[in-house]
Amino acid sequence: MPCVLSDCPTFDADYQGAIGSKFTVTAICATAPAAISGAAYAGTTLTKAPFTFTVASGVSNLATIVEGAALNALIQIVEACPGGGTKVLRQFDMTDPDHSISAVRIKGV
Amino acid sequence: MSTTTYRAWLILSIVTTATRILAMAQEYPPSVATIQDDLARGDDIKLRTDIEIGAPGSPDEIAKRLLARQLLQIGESASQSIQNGASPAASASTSLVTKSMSSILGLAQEAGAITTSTSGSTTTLTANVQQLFNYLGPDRTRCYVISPTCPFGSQLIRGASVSVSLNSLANSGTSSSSNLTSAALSGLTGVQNPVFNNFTFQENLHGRKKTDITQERFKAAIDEIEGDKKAALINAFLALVDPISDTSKGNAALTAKYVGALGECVTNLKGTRGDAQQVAKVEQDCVNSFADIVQQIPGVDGLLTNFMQAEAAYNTVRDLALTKLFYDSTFALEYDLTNNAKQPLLSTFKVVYGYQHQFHHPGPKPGTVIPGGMLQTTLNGSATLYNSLQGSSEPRVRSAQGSAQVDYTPSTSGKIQAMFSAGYYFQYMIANGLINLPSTDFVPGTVIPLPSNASVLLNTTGPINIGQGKLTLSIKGTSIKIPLAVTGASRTDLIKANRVGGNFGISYDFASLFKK
Repeated sequence: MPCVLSDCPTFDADYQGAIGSKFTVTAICATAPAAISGAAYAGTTLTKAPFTFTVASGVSNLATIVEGAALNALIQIVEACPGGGTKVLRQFDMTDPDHSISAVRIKGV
Repeated sequence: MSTTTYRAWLILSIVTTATRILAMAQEYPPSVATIQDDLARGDDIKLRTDIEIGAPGSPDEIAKRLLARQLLQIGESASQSIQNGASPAASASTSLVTKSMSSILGLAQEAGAITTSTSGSTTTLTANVQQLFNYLGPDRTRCYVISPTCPFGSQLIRGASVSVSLNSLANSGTSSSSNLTSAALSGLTGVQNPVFNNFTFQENLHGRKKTDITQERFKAAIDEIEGDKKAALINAFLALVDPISDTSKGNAALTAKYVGALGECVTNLKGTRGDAQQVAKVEQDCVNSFADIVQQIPGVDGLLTNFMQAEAAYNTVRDLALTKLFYDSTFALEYDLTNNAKQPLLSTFKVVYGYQHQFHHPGPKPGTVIPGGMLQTTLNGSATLYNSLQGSSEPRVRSAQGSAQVDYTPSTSGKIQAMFSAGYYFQYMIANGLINLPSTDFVPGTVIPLPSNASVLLNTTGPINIGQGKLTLSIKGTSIKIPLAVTGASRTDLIKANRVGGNFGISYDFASLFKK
């Protein structure tokens, strides 16, 4: 089963998915432990895993707080796809743990 | 200093200070190498998510730029008044400079480096020295809990905290004989009344950092962070980015502007073909155009302040959780200067050592382990000194204290969680309690004036032994706790008599009812 989210071809959003479909996000890091601390999307705020949301109509921000156990480690925020794979939504080096929150824009189609 | 030189210095110093205050935004805008890599791989989505508002550190960078603009305006106004004939010392120019400096100092509070809390008439200011250095100091002083190594100086900075308590209801007038006794007793029992209440400096150090942290244990530590701190940070962040990107909450005109600016930014970055100088220039143009749009969000100054405070509050509790995970042992040195009503100033030096150990058992599969009980040990030692003997013959050292406590939380699978605690406290009162009775006061119940500024209250010297055993039952998933305790004491501070008592109770955190 493919991932729920796919790249958005227009600049009004970063990713898009079918309205009403559920998606789960998680954090991965190849060299050290990493975890999502909290996440919010379309009015739903979650502070513990699983971070599963339902694609809403319009464009909404998916905000995530991500923590890693090693400085400078490459962190990826990914959709854990139903088929078992992952889709990278954002990746960055954990060079400053004090700026752990970020967001991507998701459009319901 | 000539007017022209002073004007140049003024503008330069204000802008430089503003830049240093928020110079820690590291990932945003991303490095030229990151953008070059995105361009080389033709990864349009990564290029977009790297540069857009919403990337890690972007609100802090926007705040820095907006602040620099505000301070530049203040500096320009001040320099303009100088150019128009006012001397640097004239009130018009100095008030503007003062305004700019107070803005800079106020930012430390807005950014969470200094926090205040008020309880009744007492206000406590606490400075997080690490945060202050993060905002004002050079990059090399930064040290994080997850840093593999930190220079000793950075460790000292990271572990230091300073707080001052002040009371707005000062009782500096002459006491009448009727409230003298109550003032003395309130001083002995710790009820404080004067303008300056307390100063505390604490230095926290850690033992060796653990390197065997598993994904499961890391995730469990992150889950322990208070949910309301996480939610507050998320909400403060979304309050900044939603107005320019969320179609359901945003301002349609601002959203359209932002989408246009982002598209133009990405197109321009692609147009650089990876040339480093061009990439750097386009990146700066992109962030400036985004800052122009963010500046149009109604109440953006307050939103940025809220965000930075929420970020600092979250980082503080996150660091506590990670410190517990990465370090078995902690060591703290503390100095307290206490101003009790009608007593001389007291200095207390304290040493605290803590050790925690998580037991593990072999798991069902070979090579796996499951977490067992948690053992927490705390040792405490302190000495209290009179800063002034007020002419009395009492020893300088008032008392010495030592205590030890062991808490054990077994691993349980049921709904009830138990914690067993045992504690012992020893205090030796070397000196009698001193009360400062000003010579303008009268002997209680009389009109006989007191001849000196000091008096011995009671014969309170000698040892105090207190022991306690406690069982705390809590219901998992709720805030209900039921403590059952037996306490024995050889005497109290003022009464030389044995006391043995039992306590039980039930506590419930009603605030949890309102948490998600």
